[in-house]
Amino acid sequence: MKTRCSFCLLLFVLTFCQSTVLASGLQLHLLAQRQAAMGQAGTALVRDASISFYNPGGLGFVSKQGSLQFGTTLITPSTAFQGQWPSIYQSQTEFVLMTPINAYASWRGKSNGRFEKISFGFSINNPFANGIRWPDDWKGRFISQEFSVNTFIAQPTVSYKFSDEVGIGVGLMYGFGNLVSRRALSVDGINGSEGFARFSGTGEGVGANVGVFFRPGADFSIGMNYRTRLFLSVKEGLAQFNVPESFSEQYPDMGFQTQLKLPWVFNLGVSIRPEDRFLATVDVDYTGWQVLDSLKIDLDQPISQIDLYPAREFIRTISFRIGGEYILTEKIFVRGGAYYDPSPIRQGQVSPDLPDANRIGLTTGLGFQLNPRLSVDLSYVYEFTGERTVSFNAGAFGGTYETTVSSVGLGLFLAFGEES
Amino acid sequence: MKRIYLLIFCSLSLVLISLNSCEPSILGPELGLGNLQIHPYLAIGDGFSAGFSNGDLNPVSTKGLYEGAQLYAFPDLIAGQFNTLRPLIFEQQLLPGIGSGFRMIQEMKNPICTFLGPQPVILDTTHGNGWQNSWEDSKKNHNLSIPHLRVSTVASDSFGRSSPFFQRMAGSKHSDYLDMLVEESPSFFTLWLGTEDVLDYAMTGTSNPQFRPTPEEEFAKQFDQLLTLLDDMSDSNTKGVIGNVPDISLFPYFSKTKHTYLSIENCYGSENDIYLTEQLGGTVETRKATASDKILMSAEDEIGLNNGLPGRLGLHPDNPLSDAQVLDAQELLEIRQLISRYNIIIDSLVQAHNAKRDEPWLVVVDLNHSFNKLDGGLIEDGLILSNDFLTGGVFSLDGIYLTPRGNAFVANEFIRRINAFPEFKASIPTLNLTDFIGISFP
Repeated sequence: MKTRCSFCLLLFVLTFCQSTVLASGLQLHLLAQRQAAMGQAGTALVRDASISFYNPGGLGFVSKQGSLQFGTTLITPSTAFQGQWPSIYQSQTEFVLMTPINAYASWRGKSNGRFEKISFGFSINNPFANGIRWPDDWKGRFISQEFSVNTFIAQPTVSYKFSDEVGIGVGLMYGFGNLVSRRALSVDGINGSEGFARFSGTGEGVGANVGVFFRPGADFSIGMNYRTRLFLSVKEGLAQFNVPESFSEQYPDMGFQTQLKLPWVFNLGVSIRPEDRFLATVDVDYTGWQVLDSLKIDLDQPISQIDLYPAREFIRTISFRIGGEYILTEKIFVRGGAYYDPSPIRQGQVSPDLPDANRIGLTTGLGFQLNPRLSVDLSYVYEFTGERTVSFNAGAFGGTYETTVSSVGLGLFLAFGEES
Repeated sequence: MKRIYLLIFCSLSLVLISLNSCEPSILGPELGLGNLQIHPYLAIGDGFSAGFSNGDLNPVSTKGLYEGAQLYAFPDLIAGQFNTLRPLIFEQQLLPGIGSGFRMIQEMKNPICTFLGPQPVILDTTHGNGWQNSWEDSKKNHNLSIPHLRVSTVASDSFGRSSPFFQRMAGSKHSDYLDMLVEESPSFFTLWLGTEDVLDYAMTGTSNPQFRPTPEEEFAKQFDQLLTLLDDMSDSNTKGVIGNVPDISLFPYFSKTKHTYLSIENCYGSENDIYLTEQLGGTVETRKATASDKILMSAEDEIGLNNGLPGRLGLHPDNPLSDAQVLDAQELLEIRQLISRYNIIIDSLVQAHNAKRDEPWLVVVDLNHSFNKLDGGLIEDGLILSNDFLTGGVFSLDGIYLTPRGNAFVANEFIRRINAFPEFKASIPTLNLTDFIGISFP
């Protein structure tokens, strides 16, 4: 008798790993350097064109008629792993540098003109990204070896300022992004090589961003903002398999489809200026992570009937951000803040491709007004999770993770045109 | 007042800059040997302890012992884990190169009908030269395991004379296994015997009079003698872990072959009944195989061959498989009952020998339960371990003995039992199964 399905189990391994979780660590709040330095809060902070993404309702409140802003951040996440007792196994992620960018532009109609209440904005940034790579021989490689996601959101925005107190705005989010996921396959070659599967692809999708901004008094602002979920459809992904030669016909490179699901976010922010030189702001974010179940990969040629893709439950999270800005001199601004961002992933479902945990961030930064038109902003964010002992039950893989993330950002802000 | 804000920011910045140097690092667990003394650690056992792997499909195979497999013998792996806590010398006498020979996959053939998937072409290597004499006098031997050693043959000088493995290890110095053992004094030992007492009997479909299982009384008597000897020759600090007998009928040699035969015509497969012969009382009956019959892996390639009789072998009522090619439901029951009675004997003897001392010094690791978990698949660290042939990762090409990953699985079962036994007060780190390969393919 010949066995028809002698390699079913191999495929079984392949399938259950095909679900990858996206979560809190995936959302980057490093969208503009001033806000990043102020506890990553920005829903009620108006200075420049970046408000078009943080809260389109505030776009009409940018002081200058036109504004441009560019920035980038260097992010170095690092995660340590310790196997479950009594394992003495330890590992550490490899060095990964992520470099999200951001660019914003805004323009407001001329005062006393026909369009004085209307503002236009455009933004492009990376609100969701992840980069994690474990050493090649690490223990969890059959679950995840590498997982990186980068998404860009391009957003044209229009905003209407009813009065000096209230503005609303809406933006159309066009999202596009790429993902790479790689893991080892338990099929060994006689030359000592180990198999792996690598999935890569790009996807796109659309969503909306709406916001309301109130400024009841010169020293007090409130912002509310809602961004819809964004499903990036990957239609032509590439699945590659590296297996011993005798299996190469069994595992041809093939296409796949998937959806990279990004959650909706509701933000509420307040900022006050208790005295001339000091500005304080608070944001509360409510994030609908539950829209994500998994990153389920549909291969063009189903190479297994067995589908063991674990059902997961995500919880909505509420994160808190607080920040301040102190005007040291007319030209130097000192900023600081902190945030708390809880994990939406439950115990039992935490996989090493995104070893999520409750995150605490401390932020600081400096702003320099070089001349009336040009400012430079620097930001520094240190985020840490503490130790979290969790498991990924579907793969019977557990241990203790600890993550730290250091981010350094630089931004340029140009303002021009008439002052409102 | 304003200065306070400034002060807060500046100190925050300083804190942040100092944090930047903090890479995450997690303190490892505190482990230790507790009450265990490990020098010397001796492994007492059969081929499963010796690292025997990829033997041929015959009972009492001489192929299967060679350096590349011995290095992954589970006692060696356990010793390596002890060594992470306290330096330990654990030496084995290795059979260099191809040793006594082994099975290997020569190539994977893609059949014309691709839905079958690649099929292995398995090759038996010849014996290496002079493997019986490759003894290094400069080296101690801490792994005292002899392939095919039975509980019933520990005191048998005819086993001592006839086993090439015993001859190599003990040469002319010792008449039997116990005679060799008595010279040692372990501080710690693992003992896993009993599987071979029934294995060859089962591998021949219980029909070869040359291979009889060890009767229970004999099993109990010899096991008791072995434990008594260990008690006598060791001091009061000696501890030991004893593995019991797994249900061998779940091993691929018995479980791989289905009870129906897939015949292929123009790349369409259809399932055909297999016919077998069964001894009922004094008469021989022919009937269709059912899911409760185990067709032996050694018979698999012969099914469907044209042997000159009606139909083809195994596929016609007048051309059934012979009794020696099948472990039928009745015989299977006999094997399983025998194994469970062996295990009851082991449990009660361990209890009795523990009672002789002030505190327990022996503990049984329920390997029978461990191997049962493999039936249907067991996930660990994203790997699936199972009793599937080739892909299960645990069993080597003979369908009986273990791969490196299978050995690591057994080593972990021993270690977990040691850690769970309160009297030992030990916590030994477990192995990563992902560090060990199953079967490798060309």
